[in-house]
Amino acid sequence: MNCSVIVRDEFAERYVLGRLSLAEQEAYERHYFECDRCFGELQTLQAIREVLRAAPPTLPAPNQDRVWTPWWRWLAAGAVAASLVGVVLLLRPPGAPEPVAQNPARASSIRPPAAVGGTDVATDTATSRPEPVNSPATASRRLAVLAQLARVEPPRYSPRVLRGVTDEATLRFREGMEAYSGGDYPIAVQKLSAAATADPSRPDIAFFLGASELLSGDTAGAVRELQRTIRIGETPFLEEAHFYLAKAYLEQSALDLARTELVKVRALHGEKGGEADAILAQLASLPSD
Amino acid sequence: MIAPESETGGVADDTLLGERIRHGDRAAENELVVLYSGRVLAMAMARVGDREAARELVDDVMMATVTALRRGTVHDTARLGAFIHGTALNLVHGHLRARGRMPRDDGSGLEPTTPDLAEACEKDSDMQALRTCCALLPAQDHQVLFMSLTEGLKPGEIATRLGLSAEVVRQQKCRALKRLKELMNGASRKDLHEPHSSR
Repeated sequence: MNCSVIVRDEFAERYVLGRLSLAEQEAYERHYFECDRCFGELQTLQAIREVLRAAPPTLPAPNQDRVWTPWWRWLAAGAVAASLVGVVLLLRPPGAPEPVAQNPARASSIRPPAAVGGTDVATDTATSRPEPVNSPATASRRLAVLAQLARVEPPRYSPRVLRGVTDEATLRFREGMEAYSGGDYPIAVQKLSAAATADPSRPDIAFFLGASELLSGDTAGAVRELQRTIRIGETPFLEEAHFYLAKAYLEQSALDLARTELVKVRALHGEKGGEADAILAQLASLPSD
Repeated sequence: MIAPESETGGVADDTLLGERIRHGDRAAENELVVLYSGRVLAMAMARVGDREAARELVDDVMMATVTALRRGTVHDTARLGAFIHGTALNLVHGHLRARGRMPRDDGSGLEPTTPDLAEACEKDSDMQALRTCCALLPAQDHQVLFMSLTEGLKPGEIATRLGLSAEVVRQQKCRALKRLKELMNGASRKDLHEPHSSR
């Protein structure tokens, strides 16, 4: 038994819930008697459990308890809303400006939230002539938007406290993350590659290796490592791996693949969901190729 | 105290500690107790489920270990953890036999025992910090963690209750645990110079 298996098979959680077989229990105990990291995990998990037990979260109503509105009521509500809009339009004084939503030209000119490198990439089609789809100006705007969307902020890394003996993978990982924290991504790639060779099953190593490759310009390497992080399975790095993989695809102008990854990020309802939504919206409003 | 998440996955070498105890170093004996009593307590609680009995077992195990080290009867002092675990297993089994209970067999069909170590292993300040960190979690992550760790529900069961997919539940749980550990690491780093009770 080793740390990777313990993390992968959630031994700590199954132990505190009393769900290990006797043989598994004994093997796990033998391991944590000699392993700081795994005993630390166990203690932390147990403490979290105690805190949760003492102060349960305020429970929002679960889905089955929700009162579902029959479809015909929504239909009725829609009809009422539509008639209200009609009344407002009828009451609008003559010559008053048309509401934005009624102006398809304006409604379609969604401005990206941020100007790209000081360049205003949106076109106000209400005041300017629409440009040909394949014009050089459109193409350059498209490239500018894509460059902006592909920009990467280094994923956050919380350095951890090290005690005692370390294995080869952890030593290389620590060296790699020191370089990463200092912004030296090529060195980080070198060290993290060594760490990944020593322990290919660790998602933290795979993820930060992928991120470092992305940040040092090796997009193909980043794609490979981030895909590997995702293949490792349910880990705390899954959502970020999808997100940064989308960034790598954007860098490669592989927009469909990027969209697919961003949709997966959104489906995970995590911290990156908002950013994924924003990028998807910008991709939707991107000038055609 | 809550151990900050460590990246130390290797096997500790206790040769020096064992040698010091063999030569009568009392401070080394205290170090040994500090290093291992949390682990023995965790194990005893998991297997015995009785706090008082578990504490007595911790005393017995540590005393037996120190005695063996003083006498020089521990052959592999580099791996004291393995020796202490073996000693603890023997004493726990002896305790269960004396109580007329055999250790549970392969776990199926038996009510799970749940170790209740936090009170013994953690400092009040750590628990307070952890409570604060828990309160900072997004409500749904908090709830998923609660259902998972206290009600023992599996992701599929939680998913049904919350109207989510099992994959989302698993991810929320992973994320919540990661976030809590990060927050706790941040909190622990403030008092990095404090000695850890875990090894």
